[in-house]
Amino acid sequence: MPAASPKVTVAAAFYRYGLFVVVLFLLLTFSLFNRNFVSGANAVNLLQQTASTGIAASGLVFVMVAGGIDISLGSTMFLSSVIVASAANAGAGLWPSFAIAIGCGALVGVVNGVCVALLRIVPLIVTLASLYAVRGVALSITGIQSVDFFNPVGDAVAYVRLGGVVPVVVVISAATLVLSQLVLSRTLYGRQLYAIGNNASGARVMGVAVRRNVFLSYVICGALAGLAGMVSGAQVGSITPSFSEGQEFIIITSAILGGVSLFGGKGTVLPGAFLGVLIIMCIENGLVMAGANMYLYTIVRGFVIFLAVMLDCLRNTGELR
Amino acid sequence: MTPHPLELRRIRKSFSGVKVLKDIDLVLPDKGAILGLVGENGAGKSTLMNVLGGVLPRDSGELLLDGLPYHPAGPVDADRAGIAIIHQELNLFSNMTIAENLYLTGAPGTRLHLLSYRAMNRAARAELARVGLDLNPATRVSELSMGVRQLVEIAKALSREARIVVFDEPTTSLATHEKERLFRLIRELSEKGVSIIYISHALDDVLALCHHVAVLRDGTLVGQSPVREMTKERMIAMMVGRKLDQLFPWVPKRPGEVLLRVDGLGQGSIFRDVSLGLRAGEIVGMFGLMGAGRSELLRAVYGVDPFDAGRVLFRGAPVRRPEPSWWVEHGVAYITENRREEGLLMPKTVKENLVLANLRRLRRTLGAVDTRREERESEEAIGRLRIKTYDKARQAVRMLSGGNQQKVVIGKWLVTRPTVFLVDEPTRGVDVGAKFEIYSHLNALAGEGSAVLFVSSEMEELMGVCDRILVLSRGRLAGELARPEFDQHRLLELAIGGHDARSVA
Amino acid sequence: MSVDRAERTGEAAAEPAPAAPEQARPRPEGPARAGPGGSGGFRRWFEVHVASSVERVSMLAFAVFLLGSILFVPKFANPVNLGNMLVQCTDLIILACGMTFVFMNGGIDFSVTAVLALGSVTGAAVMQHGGGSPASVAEAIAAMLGIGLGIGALNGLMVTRLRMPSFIATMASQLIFSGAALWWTQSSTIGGIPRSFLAIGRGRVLGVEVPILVMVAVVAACAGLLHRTVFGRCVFAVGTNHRTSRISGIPVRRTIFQLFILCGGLAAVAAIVMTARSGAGMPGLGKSMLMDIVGAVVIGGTAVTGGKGSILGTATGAALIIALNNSLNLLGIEWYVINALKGGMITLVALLGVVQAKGDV
Repeated sequence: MPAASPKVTVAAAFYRYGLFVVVLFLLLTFSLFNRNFVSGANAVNLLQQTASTGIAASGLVFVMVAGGIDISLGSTMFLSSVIVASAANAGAGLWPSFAIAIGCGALVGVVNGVCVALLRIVPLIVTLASLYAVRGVALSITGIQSVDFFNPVGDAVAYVRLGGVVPVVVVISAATLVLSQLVLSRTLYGRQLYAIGNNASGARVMGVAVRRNVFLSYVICGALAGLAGMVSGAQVGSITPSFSEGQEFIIITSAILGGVSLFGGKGTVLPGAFLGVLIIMCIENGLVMAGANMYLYTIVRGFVIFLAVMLDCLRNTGELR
Repeated sequence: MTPHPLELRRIRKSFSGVKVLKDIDLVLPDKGAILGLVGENGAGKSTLMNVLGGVLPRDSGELLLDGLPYHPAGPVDADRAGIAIIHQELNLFSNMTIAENLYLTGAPGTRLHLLSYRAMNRAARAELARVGLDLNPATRVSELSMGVRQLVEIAKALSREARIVVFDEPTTSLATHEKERLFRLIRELSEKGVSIIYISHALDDVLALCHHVAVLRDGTLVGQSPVREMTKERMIAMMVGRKLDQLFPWVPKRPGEVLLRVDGLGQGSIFRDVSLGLRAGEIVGMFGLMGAGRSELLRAVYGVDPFDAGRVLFRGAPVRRPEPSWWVEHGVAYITENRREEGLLMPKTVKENLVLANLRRLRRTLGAVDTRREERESEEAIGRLRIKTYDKARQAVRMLSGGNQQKVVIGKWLVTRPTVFLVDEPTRGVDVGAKFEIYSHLNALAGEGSAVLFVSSEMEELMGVCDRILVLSRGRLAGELARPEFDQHRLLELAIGGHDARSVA
Repeated sequence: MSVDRAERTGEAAAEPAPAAPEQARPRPEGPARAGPGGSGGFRRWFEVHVASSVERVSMLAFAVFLLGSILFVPKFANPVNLGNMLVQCTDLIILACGMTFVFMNGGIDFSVTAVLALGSVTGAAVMQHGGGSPASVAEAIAAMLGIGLGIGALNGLMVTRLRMPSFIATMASQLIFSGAALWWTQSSTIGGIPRSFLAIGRGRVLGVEVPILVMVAVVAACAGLLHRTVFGRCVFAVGTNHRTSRISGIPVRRTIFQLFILCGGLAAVAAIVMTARSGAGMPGLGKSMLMDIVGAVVIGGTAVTGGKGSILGTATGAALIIALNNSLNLLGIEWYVINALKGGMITLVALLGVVQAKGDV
């Protein structure tokens, strides 16, 4: 393999800082259209909107970095949100509620992880099946009725501002992002995930417990999706049967935009996935401000996914499937 | 008496009934000894190292480390026992830094499960210094040259406290100054008590570097002696000194026009400036050692991989962008050296594999398959090549023995009646009887006017079957021998020549 | 590929062995090993002929399930009910046949529902615009087919030229094109479909409903294409191993491209039949069908990793899914629970495929 040529490093620099540039560009453009955009209040607003996606994206990065994929996130979010809402309605406290949400998500993660790491079934099919199965299970709990999250726990999550300024969801999201990035970049486990994504058999030869690490990545992903579900559910207040439907693709797009490669071995939560989430949210906000027809959103999302993945594929290649 | 750091006693290993290692007794005499291991391709060097490294289990025999029995169940055991093998393809993760690569399973200065990059980088710097590298350990591996990566791999081995380091063809991708740096390092390691096994085709290097030399030939240890008792001539003689008493089916031929010609073909640093011509009715051999670039050449000609210089001509006309489908259409066949991944559809049946290259000719109206012709041709191929299968339409190729698998690959191409046949190691893993049948088929093809390019590491079969032999060495054509000039010694000399020469960067 | 090397785990003179020492174990060259005693005979027969193929397991399961439902589920064997199921089968089978081709290469096509939606509204719009004339009907059909083939071609290009993984490439198309259908119609349906077109969905020829004839034709054509033509052989080869196929002269990229075109085209055929039956151009046509389509293909024995599959198996899988939907529904089980069960089934069947691939039958 040849040493890096100057041309490659310029492209690398572009990709590394390109994200920041894009985000700045988007923020600037919007601030031109809407004076209020740059205000503190709007910033807080934006962060609130991105909270749950950011939390879920953090978890997804673990799975993707090791070379896998999880498209059942929306259903996991739904499951945990209805269970937590029901539990809170029945009187569960704040901290137990968090535990329940994370636990639910982790359970889905365990099932996915076992199927992928132990039973060696293709991750796409496993998580596709989970997508339907988990939502089905959740719906059988709710009986296709909306579940309300208007109880002390839900209100606390949705309305409380620490220090009167920072909403709880932003704190949770920030903490999750920071912790996830810490684990990915500063623990042996995290580094081993990158190794697995780059060359799984090579990692095994070096004594890395590949199957166990991959299994854990799905559990973490599920657990964080559970947390994201709770946050999002509290923000929405009334959880309908189609809650979070299709959300997984927004999360996946955020991650890919943020530099997390579909082919594994690359990507970060901070700044990567977080910036990806911001970009998506900016685009959606932009559409709102432009008064766009609601059906336009789907089309724009499709284009954004296309562009994000095309960029990823130009930089990293895989097989033709 | 202190026990030897490493001792192999009567090591035996077979694959599918073919004996690859026959009662090998090898000794690393003292701590810090540098043992050179030489032998042709197929002599058994890689298999031996794989047994040592725990990648393959041995059939029988003992391994002793410092006098104590050593039974690795896998590479991790070898790693723990202090054995490190530096392969040609390094086991580094390109998306991580040097320090991260070094400490993938455990890092110094870790507190509360949190890595300390300061401590890691500092320790890594020390490890890099041991191999004479003054680099920032936070550099990504993807940004390093091959030579530097190799040194990093060595640093990794040392950081895992390797007592025995095996180098498998370390200098093929190195520039001169990198090679000299490597040699300095190896000598230092030796002085510090690390024992070394050095496998290489560059015999001059082996003589310059090693304390002892062992020669393998056809799975047997022909001899091991201290370096002062060795000369290059003697080594070559030991590597090739087999009795050539096998009779090969050679027939005199009258070669016709040039069917396939290659002009100054080049691919990066892998091969350069290669020109050759294949004439109808002749069998041309291509000999060379590992790393010579023979397979890469064939792949480039066939269009599997791109080339960046020169051109390919078929029947006099230049082929602009060679593509396998184009070649197949024009009657040029290519048997790769990697039959499992590129020659066969392993989970598919014998019949499905046999017709794979000839599908376009099986087309009837509306694109339907001519099932009768399909049946006939596959049955014919099985008969001609004597492929042993209990039911060609039901048995998966994966279940066949290696030799039979190879016959299926050959059969697949014979069915297309090629006018040019490029074959890469066609008799690998095939029993003697079947080998002969394959030679007869090649002869028959040549007799009918086809051109055959026969790439092989077994010089006897080349000398037995071919009309002339080209020798590729380190990516360049080192020479050509006509049939009257065939000589084992000369062939090996030519093949080694490029490896030994003070190569350009 | 690096400099010409012997396999790291092998030797020039011997068969290159895989990294794990599982090479060349002595393999019985006959059918599966004998079981114990008398029951061994049946067990062996079972292993060789039934359990050896996922497709056959599904057929067995279908037969058993059908029998059970006829016997135990009230109203199942009612002719009206059976008629309904048959109708549902036609749509699902046509779509699943197309999906089978894409699965053969280890890929997936999420955009079939978008073809349904966009095709339906486009066709209806063309006919409405043309006042329901026969010419407009022909134009509509052509337009719908064009949309299916076009989206398929786009997907094919994304996968073969841009090298995008199919799941996300087709997800992008799905969002763009179903979004387009919704946006254009603002979620309302388009009427004005002439009777001549409706006949495709509701008419009869020689006593048999037209959709059933279309379904049979599609199954026959696809089965012929996949199992009896040179193209079909190429598909099997490409789905098994790209490298071997390419070196053997098979046009790998072109074959993969054609798979996506087939899938899109067949989705368009389904759009025609479904629109004709429903009587209006609907932007939400077939929205929730994706799971059943994937389920039909997987349960029918097509390997998720590619290289193996059968059209007949897919048809059986589709029938099983419809029967499942129907009888469980009659038993009072909610649709989402049925979904959950189907999800579990898909995973189980995929597992069976993995186990079977490892075995040597």
